[in-house]
Amino acid sequence: MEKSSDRIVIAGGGIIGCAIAYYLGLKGVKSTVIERRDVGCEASSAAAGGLWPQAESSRPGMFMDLCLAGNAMFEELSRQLELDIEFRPSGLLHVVEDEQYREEAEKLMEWQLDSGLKVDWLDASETLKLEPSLSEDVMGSLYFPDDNHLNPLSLTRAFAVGAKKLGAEISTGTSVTGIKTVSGRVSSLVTDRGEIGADIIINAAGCWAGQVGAMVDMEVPVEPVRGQIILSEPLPPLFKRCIVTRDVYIIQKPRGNVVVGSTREFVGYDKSVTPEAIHLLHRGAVKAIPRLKSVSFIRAWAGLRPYTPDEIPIMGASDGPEGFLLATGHFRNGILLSAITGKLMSELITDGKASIPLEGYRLSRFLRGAEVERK
Amino acid sequence: MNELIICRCEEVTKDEILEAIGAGAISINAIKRLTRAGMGLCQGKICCRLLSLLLSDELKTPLGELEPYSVRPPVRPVKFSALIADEE
Repeated sequence: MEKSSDRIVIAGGGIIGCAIAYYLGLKGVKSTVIERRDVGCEASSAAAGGLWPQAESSRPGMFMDLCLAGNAMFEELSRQLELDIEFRPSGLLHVVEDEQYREEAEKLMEWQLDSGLKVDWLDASETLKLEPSLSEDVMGSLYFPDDNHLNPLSLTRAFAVGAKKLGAEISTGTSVTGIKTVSGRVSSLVTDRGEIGADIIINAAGCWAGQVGAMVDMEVPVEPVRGQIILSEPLPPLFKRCIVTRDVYIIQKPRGNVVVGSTREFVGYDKSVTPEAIHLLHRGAVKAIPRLKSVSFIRAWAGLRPYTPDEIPIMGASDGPEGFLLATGHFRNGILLSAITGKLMSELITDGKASIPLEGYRLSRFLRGAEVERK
Repeated sequence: MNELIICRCEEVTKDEILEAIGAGAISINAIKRLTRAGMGLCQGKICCRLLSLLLSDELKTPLGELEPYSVRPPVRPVKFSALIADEE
């Protein structure tokens, strides 16, 4: 598909755009990333960095397999990337507080064990033995030893720095304003700072993918979903594993700060923080870990995650102009899927075929009449 | 070498700030994401002004034209218990 003379331009300098530029660079292919503001300034920096393919999945299948493949890349990547991405093989405890939730947890455990994944049911005393700071009201927990966490800001930056070293150009403070085509092929990307000739354009604009798609008359059904997060002052080690309850997730980061997230709000492009959400997150955190009650919280912030109707990303070729590709709509899985998306997109561009088929991620699944199935 | 500490909470030096600006940071928010300056206990209450001045100098841009710094709530650290006091 790709010829050595092909000029590749990526619209969007978030974690997905930077990862694609990085993996293209590893294959000796240069690209240009166009970013409206700064690298990773939207959804990429409104994440806690949880890598949770198992705890956050609801059923086996194509998407689950992609999440697992993505997760498996980080251990090696943390050695390969020049910057410290604060990857921690921590494991995760999915805390169960009532009988109904326990039934759901048992179903989750059953199909995951059938799929050959590692997951264990711990009763109350085993749970508290593993994480003594948890509330004694806990009924039990599902333990996922392979669900981990890292620092999403550092990972985005590491992809950007790595990509630049491998020859990519990253233009920050540059807005995409149009796309030109010649006889059904993309020919250039127009920005507020000039026009860039392009043979391949990748729409990696996250929540703004719809706007970029509209430039080639393409409807990309991505919409922003706000997530609010709070952060505590740095504390001595209080717990080691990621903690997930019905209400919140809680991670203690390597510097000692505790992150609590997150909400899921359809409020358009509004990144404000609300007292209601802050309250909800505090209540959820203190319920799970009572000792957090006497801790100070120092920051609350919000970001917009690119949601698609089936909560599965849109990746690969489009039915639009030749050379126009998509890698967007990663919703709450952008950090987890960053590396695998970069790898697969770079394979698609250089070899014409990705090592994991991307057919199921095509935009065309949303065409009228197509059946949309939730993950 | 300029090891002068600009952000005391996260111990970020002037060199690191200048490096971030050199790497393409065009706002205090970008410097924050690159270096953690302003992400510590005081949340930039102390260093925000210094960061603005450095950025303004380096980019040769008047202070008023820089992207405003995102001040995150709360303005002072607040206990978790204070936020759920009505349920006690």
